[in-house]
Amino acid sequence: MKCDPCRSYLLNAEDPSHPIEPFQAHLEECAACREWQVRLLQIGVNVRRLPVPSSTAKPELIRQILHPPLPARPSPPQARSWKWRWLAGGAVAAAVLISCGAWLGNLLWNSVLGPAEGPQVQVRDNQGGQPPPQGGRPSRKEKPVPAIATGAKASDLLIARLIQCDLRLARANSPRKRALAVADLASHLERELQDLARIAGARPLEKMARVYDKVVREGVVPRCRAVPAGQRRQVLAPIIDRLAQAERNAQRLARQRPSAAPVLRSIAAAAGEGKKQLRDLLQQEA
Amino acid sequence: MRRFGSWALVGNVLVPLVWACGAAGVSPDAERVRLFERDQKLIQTLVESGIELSGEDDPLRRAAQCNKLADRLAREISQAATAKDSPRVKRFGEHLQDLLTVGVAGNLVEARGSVPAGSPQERKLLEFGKEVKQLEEKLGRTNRGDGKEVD
Repeated sequence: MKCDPCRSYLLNAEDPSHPIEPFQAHLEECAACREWQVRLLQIGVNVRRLPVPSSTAKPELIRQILHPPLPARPSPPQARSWKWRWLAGGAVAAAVLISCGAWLGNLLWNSVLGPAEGPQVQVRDNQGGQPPPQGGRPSRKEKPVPAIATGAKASDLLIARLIQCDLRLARANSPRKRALAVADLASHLERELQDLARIAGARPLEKMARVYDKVVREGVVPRCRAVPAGQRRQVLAPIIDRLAQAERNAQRLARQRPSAAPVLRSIAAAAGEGKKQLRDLLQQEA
Repeated sequence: MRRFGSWALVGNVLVPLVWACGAAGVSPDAERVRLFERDQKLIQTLVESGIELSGEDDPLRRAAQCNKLADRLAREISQAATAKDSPRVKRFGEHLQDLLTVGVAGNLVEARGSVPAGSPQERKLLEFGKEVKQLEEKLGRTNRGDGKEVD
């Protein structure tokens, strides 16, 4: 595949952080497109941070719809002029007060959740050019997971991805496919945990951090060991890169968000240990 | 005119305050954490099933593992139906169908090819087929119509 169709797809995709299979494969091969994807995601995140200027256009339009101009009726010109001044003044005051309301709402919201320790992003910005999870060729029955943009639906999206990985594992007929599918499973979980660590403290994530450790220790490492020697370098290298990236991201995030640091450190330790064991495996082979 | 001004002032103060209180109650991030906590056990089951499946060579056991997962998902569908969460019933219904067709039936077909007729494994296979049928019947009762629980 060439770069242009891939970039067109990313521009039009609902969730460019998780491209569908043919484009994902291209991204894995093409560093320029990966870089382009990262920049696109960063633009997406930054656009949401832009302040929206207040406007009276919307109330004015609503007013025009609700109160269409009445047929002309004789009235003293001076009185109508005062009425319009009051309306305009009221609209401006409403805009100012609504802005204050928005500010107050955010203030209350933050006080409910606790102080933010770093930027809150709802869409993962693929920091550091972390490659998206990759897998073997999808099975005939495998369906692309639909992108769900809002944070509230992230849990459903994770469930859909994990089920797709389980289905791949249920039908995987080679050690290579199993290693790739279980590595994807671990990646999906790790990414979700890191995203949640940005908005939640350690408590809701403690148990799942142990599950991540388990999937790396009992899933990824043994399945990679089972890959035949001739295929190991090709299969293991991207998995090692991904584990290394997960370790770095978790360590960096632990510094930024001390409230979630214990969980993030245990994720980093699990990824680091997995990476070390797989590197040793490759070195033994060499 | 004075009365109009007073009403405008009261309205302009009250509307943003009500809006602000609403914003304080519903935060997408808090909702995301709440849903993750709600689904934590299911997520754990899915990951642990993946670990089991990754180390399993026997298609019959893989089918059994997928059936266990399908059963777990059926319970989630039942709970969602009770809570009248139709979108969740629909989404999980699709996942369940995939699990039954790809995970269970696909592996059973593969197992059938390698199991000799009259062997203990064949009996196991037939018993397992009955379990799957029971699950399908249970689902038929649970998910009849628009996600309404009948049974």
